[in-house]
Amino acid sequence: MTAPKLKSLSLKGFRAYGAAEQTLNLPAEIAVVWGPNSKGKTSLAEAFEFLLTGRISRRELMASSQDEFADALRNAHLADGEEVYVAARLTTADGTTHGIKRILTHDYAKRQDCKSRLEIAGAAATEADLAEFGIALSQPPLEAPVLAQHTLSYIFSVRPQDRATYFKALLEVTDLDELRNDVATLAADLKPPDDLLLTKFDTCAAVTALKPALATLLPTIHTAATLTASLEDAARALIEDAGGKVPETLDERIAAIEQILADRRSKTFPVRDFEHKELAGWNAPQEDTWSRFDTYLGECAKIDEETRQLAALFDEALKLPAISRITEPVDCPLCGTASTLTPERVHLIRQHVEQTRGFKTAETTAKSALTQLSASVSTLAVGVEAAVPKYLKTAAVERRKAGFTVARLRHLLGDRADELVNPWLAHVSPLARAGAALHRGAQAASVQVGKQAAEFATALDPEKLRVTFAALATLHIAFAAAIDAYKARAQALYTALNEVLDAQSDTAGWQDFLNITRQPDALRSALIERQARATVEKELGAALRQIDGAKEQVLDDKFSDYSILIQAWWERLRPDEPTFFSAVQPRKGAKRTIDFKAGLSANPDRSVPKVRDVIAVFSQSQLHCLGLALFLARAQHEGLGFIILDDPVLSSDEDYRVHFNSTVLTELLRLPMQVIVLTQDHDTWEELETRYRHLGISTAQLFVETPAEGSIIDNTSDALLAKINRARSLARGGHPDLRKECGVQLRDAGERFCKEMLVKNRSDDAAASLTDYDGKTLEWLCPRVDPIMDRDPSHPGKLTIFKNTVNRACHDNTPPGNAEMTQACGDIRFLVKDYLGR
Amino acid sequence: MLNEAKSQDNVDRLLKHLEDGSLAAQLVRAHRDHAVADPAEAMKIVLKERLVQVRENLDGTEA
Repeated sequence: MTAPKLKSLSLKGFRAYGAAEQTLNLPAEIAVVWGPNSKGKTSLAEAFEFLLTGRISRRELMASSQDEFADALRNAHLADGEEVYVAARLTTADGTTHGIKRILTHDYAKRQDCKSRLEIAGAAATEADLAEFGIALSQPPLEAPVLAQHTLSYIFSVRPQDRATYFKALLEVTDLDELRNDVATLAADLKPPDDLLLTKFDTCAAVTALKPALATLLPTIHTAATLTASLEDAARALIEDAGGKVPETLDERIAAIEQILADRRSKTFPVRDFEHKELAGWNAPQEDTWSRFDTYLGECAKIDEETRQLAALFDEALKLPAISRITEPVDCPLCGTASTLTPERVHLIRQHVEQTRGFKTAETTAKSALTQLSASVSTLAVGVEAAVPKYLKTAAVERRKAGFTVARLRHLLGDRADELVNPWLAHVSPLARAGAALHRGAQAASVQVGKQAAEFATALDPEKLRVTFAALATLHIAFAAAIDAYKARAQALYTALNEVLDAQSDTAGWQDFLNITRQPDALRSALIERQARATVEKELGAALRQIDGAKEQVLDDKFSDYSILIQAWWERLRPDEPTFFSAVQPRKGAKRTIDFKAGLSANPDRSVPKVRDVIAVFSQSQLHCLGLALFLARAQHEGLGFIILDDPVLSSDEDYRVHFNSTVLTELLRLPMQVIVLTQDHDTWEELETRYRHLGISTAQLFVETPAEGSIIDNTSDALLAKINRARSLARGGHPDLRKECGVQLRDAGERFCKEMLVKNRSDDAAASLTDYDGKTLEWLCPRVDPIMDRDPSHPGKLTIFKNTVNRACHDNTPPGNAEMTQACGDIRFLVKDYLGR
Repeated sequence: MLNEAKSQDNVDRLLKHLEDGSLAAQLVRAHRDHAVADPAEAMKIVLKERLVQVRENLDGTEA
């Protein structure tokens, strides 16, 4: 976005300015405002700053105590309730005009910042909204594009660390710091994996017997085969260390280690009595089990008892070819009666068989279901038995004899006994009860299945089976819940107990070794993951170091670029001096220190310069000039649209002022950058008005009529009014020299008035010009103007008295008093307004 | 906070001082190219890809 330009600034009640709104018109690219001391110049500069930032930097930079700026922004003479604000109109790149306004809501107070409200086009806004207009604020504390005396000296007087921070912010590399920090935070993603397998690996890798073999797995990742070989070697070493016989395969070695470990542990405590198997899954009978029985009973009801009983006999008879294929009557194979088995009877038998086929199928299916129920009960009983810990299946006498007692457990676990034993104990009884109940339920179900099988043909009662197995399912669920609740507590106790036992039996790390050896693939994956993360973390560290180095180089580059900008402005301000600004740069080896270097050359061409610190070798004038060059370089670097310069040139620096007025301002306007110069030097004001008249320079003057009214801005590009205004500010001066100077200004103003009257009177002469009267004095001009002042008979007299007063002021040793000088100012101002309409 | 153009300029300058193809350059480039979305996430993706590569290299010892 192209930078915006200011069109006007209005303020009311702000610092030196009173209740009447004052407006500074800024129609041109350059403006110059003249104001003697204490006429509101600095207040005007700070109004720009307040508008853009909501505060004034002078408080931060100069106040030894923040209390000193209490109530500093609101004009001291302003009536209660009067609003205090600064407003501006500005145009953006698209040519549209915008209004921004900041209203002071709370002035500075003791140890309290001021508060204000920013509005854009009448709506509440924030400083960030200003950026949308292209108003880019710089970094604190010099955010606003306003140069004042206190900002000129800031960089040279600030602490080294603050100076480094300022320049790092100014050169805008803070985003690289943020980027670097973003990169650094990536390390969090590369922490070693939180993998229990690796923890176990590290533990057993510290076991003396295992160390040599397992150490080979640490520096490099092995193939699956060599990893297994290393584990085999480790297992061999462990068994040999325990004095055991080493089997051939890894599985055998694992079994051997398990046995040795169990034996050693058991010497201290029968820890294997804790062992139990996982509760096997049990599927309760499906609904179709019961429907099979129902189908069977339904088929039974269809045929009579005798048919059912003969069904098997008929079926077998028909399997005999001698019967099934007869064509003639034959003897009965059962009773031997001659010719009693006829084809008709065989046909009848076949019909009987056909009628009982459904019954037979249902019978087979129902018997199969009964068999399945029997098997299901058996499976459940076996599973429950296996799921119950061994110590619960051992008689109390035997347990005590083996040393499996709660007291022994507590003794072994020492301080941790309560936290481990008590929760475990609390779940032992519920588990025992649930196990016993399920065991009884399984027995009852088994009996019921047997009874139903025995009475299958005569008194099958599926409902009894259904009720029994429903109860069994409920008991199974209760047991599963009990064993789940028990397992977590038992495992904690078991693990802690084994640690104690391993420590006492010199088998620490063995269990971990068994665990990792059972999962070689998982172990290898975990080792690869850990190694990969470590490798990338190392690479990330190297990347960070490279970024740090590159970041410093970027900063050096930008310092170099910035130095070139400063040098350019320095050369425009102080060309060809043998002492010159050389560079601004971070001190080698101390990146938090920024040095300003000066070149000192004995030669006119600045050859063979000695480099020194500017603080040590520059004069106050040179430091002032460097401060200005720094400010202008910053403004150029940041592409600002406008800058406000409050007395940028020391009044004592005549040479430097010439360069500023010509070369520097011309270059700023070329950028292009709108420049608003506030000066107490009237010669500068006049020179700029003359030099930049072709650009339509806007000019204004500041004066104070009464303290209560405050500072007044008089916008004028009119040299005549400017002279009168200046005279007015001098007229009240106590010293005679001030009134003499007032007389000089009034004489110039009077001559200008007369010349303009004469030119105006020649309105039909197109060639008439003020230059026609160059060199003419009031003595010559007044008699010629008198006849054309025809609006009131008193006017020629006013002009004559004015001329006399001015002559006395210019020529007498004692100039007229304040009252006469003020009256002369009023008379000429009246005549200008009445006859020239200004 | 810098505007995007100035930040872009800084990152471009930074890249000039980093070895092309290095992890540092890859991370900075990812940060730059995804500055509007989520630069941190973009860098995480680069790092994850590198992790996968290293993991595969280590696992490849079996081949």
